[in-house]
Amino acid sequence: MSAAALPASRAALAIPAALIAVLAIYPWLATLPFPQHIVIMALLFATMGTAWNILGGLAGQVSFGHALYFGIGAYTAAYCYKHFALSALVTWPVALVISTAAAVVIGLPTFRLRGHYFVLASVFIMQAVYIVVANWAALGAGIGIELPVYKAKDWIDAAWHLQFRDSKLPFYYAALALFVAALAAFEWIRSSRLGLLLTAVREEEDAARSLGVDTMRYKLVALVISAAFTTLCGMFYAHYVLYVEPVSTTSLVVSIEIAFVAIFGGIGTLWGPTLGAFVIIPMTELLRAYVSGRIALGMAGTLQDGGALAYLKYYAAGGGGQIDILIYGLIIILIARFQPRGVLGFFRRLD
Amino acid sequence: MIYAQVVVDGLIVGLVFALVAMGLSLIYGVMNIVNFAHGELMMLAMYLCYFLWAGFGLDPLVSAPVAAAAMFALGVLIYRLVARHLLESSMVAQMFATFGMLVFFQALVNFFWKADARTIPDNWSTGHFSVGGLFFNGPELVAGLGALATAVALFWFINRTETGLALQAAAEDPQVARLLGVNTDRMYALAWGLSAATVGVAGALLATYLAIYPLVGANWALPAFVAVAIGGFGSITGAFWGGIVIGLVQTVGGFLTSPSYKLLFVYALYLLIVLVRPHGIMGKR
Amino acid sequence: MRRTLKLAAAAVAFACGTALAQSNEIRIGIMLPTSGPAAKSGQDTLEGVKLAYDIINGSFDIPLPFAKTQGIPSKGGAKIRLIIEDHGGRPERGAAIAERMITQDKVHLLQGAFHSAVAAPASQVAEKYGIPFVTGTSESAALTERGFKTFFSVTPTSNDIARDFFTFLAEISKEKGVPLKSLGVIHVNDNWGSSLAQASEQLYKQYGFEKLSMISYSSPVADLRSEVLRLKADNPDVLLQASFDADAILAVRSYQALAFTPKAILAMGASFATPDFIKAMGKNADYAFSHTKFDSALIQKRKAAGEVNRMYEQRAGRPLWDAPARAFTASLVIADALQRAKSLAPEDIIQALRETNIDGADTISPYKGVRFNEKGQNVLANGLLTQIQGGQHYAVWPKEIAVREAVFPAPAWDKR
Repeated sequence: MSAAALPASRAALAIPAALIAVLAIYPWLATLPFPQHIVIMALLFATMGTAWNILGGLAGQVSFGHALYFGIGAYTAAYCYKHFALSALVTWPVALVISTAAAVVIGLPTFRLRGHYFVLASVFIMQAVYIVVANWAALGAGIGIELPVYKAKDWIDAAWHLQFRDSKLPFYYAALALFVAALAAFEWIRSSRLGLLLTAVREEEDAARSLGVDTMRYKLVALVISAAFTTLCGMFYAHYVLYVEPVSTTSLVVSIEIAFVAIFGGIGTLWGPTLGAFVIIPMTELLRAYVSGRIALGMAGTLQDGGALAYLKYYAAGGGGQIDILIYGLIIILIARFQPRGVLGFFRRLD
Repeated sequence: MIYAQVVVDGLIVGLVFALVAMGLSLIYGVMNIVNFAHGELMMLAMYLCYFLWAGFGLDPLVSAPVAAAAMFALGVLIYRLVARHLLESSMVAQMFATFGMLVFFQALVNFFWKADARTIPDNWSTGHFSVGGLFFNGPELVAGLGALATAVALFWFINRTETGLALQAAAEDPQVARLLGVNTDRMYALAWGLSAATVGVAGALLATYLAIYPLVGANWALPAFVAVAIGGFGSITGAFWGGIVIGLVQTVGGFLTSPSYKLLFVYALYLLIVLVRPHGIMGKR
Repeated sequence: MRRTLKLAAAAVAFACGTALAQSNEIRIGIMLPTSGPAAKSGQDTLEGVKLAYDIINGSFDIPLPFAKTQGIPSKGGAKIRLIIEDHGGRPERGAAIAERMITQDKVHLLQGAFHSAVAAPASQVAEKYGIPFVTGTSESAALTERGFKTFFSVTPTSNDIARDFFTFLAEISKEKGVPLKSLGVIHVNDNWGSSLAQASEQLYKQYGFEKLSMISYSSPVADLRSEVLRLKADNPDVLLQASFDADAILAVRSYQALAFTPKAILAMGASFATPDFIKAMGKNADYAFSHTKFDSALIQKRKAAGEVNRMYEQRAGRPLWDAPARAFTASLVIADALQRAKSLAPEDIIQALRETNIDGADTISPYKGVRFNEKGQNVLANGLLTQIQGGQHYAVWPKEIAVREAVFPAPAWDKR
């Protein structure tokens, strides 16, 4: 029996419990919607990062195409709600079926690939789906689907429609629940036999295969679970934002964000994605809201005649946009260069 | 007749893809790193050409050597600052480092010069002519031919010069190369410099007709990644032919069905090829 | 631990922030794209908005309402403070920005957003909170079709634009004796572009067209060859276009490169009307038509247009054009409503907006006036068509405002 199979000590349980308790009371401390929104988004990405980590960290299969599953969840929820008035409460099995089917269909051929070829395959498949979605009239093509705003009659009606006009709290706790579930799933897998097998797949796949381990099957299991959580997050997103379109759901940008919070925090660790999400998401949101816009306001530039410097200055005036992305990129480079094991690598603790 | 036009167009754009793909393959061959920021280097070269044109009236074709030199220096700089330290890192870390550069360069350009598109309206290659019903646009044709010339030059350098052979040795087996007196560190730097220089030339050629904005590298160069993967990472010849194939597939496929789907064919081709040959057609390892 | 402290600090900061927002001022939240593919247009539009509110807040000798007075007279001269944020063309940001502006910055109104795809979710949030959202620049007809109580559109919609196009084409086809049978539409694949596509689909048969080719693409796009080859194969008589700045340039270059010459290109919206387009395209910009809501021809028709144009040019380094002019007029509409509103409570502002009745002569736009129907759409909005001739825009339609005659059909590319 390896160390991973021993029950966690009480001290090790106390810290996570405390953190979750803090998260649970947070919305009562920060009552304005924006701070709540930031943490909701952080929780969402922490969940997706943890789910990604099941495939990327435990099984060692780095996918930059996870937005596909996010999109499946978002579009299923949006479509069913708009056309049948059925919210995710009812339609989640449908989304999960589609997601599982997609995972298997994608996993079977691509898990035969290694290294960069696999990563690129995950990207290209997702991009292909993006193109299809962005051109599919039934899904709103480039416009996307707007979920109708609904005025609930009472709280039961509101829960059924997942439309909470006055408060973000239901969304907040739903996100928190998803987050805890993802953490639990990750930890459960890691300390189970499946976890051991995935470690074998990750570290020495050829050796495992030669010993008769059906690596394809276990990789698929990891992918299906990972995809399932991502899809549920997609459904959450649809009901939360009430607007689903290709670029914000099924695009490379989203895929990278999901993978990045995990890699930044510590790929393969339990808390890595959570740390990553709670650093990156608030940082980018706050930077964009309070800094980026201010700089972009800038001053008006008037074009003087000639000279490269004049052109440079003219075009620079009013710049300053996307400073959050600039810093984001810089962080990515620095982490990858100096601490590829992620921020948690600084503490040399692989919980 | 229009089909002939489509094929010709595909070949011309394929030549530029080929050049871009070759540079990408060069770094991989030598260091096993996929440089996700390759398209951004092209984009930076395009901006450089734009400002040289706007400020000094230099035609992009004249700026091409300047762009090549500047990008060569940048490539070496990137190697020394970032890539050198990635040699022992995991694939994920390598991918993320170059991906971080992608994000960084795009945002940097956006930060200073906003996202609006710039173009260089009139330049030496402007104009068009038709031969037997086929339309050739000056800038695009020059770009294709320029790309071909640069590709041939690169190929010649790698295979026919002593430095080029040393580069190949470093790619093949670094330890043996070192024993034979090859300075692998300098070879790696050279690979990055060359890669950036060639994609810089591509950028200068494209600046004659493409709109220049922060995302142009990522958008335009994405098929080049497919080209390299199809041709097989590490094979420059494979990358070249991969580029041509991608150009054709994209243009013809888009024409036959609908232009919105043109990239689908490119992706589908990749999947088809790697499923049959998991290391691409001519890839190493 | 770190995380908790960070969150607590943020919470305290927000609490302090909201306390400061309670002075005698009127806060308007402005959301525009100052990054992303339409950044230049967004930046220019922002300059138009800033100019408008500077005029309203200050005292200027211009023949416009609110110019000579400072602030909003009926509200004790309260000045308008702008809270501005960039949405970069991303719709999901629209909702988040709107919510923050409403709940934290406590804005009285929202204005924006240029991209119809961003205006949609942002105004959804506004509707939820009951805060009025006024757009001068987002044209998609779908926006007002939602029938929101809080959404007001000053600008003509894509349906109006399509109708203008078809009316003009019918007129000029008869006038020049050139029959038009097939129509091509190329559009960016988003809310705004698709709205032109939908309108065209509904109207083309009515106006005598028999064939319709529709090409859509996703922006930003690197290369439009396949799209243009397709158009060339279909060979439509005229082409309607809805593109953003960079795509427009790429498109026209591709038309030229592949010798695709429709008899006329009619562009909806900003891109063809920006000064940058002409600068980038040189003589290849000639003969393209733009549906615009501002042109120098208006300087004769609207008394304040000349002065506003001069002030704008001083600030932005280029003359006033379509997008900033529309945003400017929308700002005037807002000031007018604020003046008439019984109080600054949202319901009163909304009521005042509903009762808006402004004469076009008091704006700088070609609109007959501003009056909203029950869906919040300005029914007196209209535009004009300009054609680029010799590197300049000239108003060519409708006849009452035309300064030049339209050139139709357009000559082939190599004969220019």
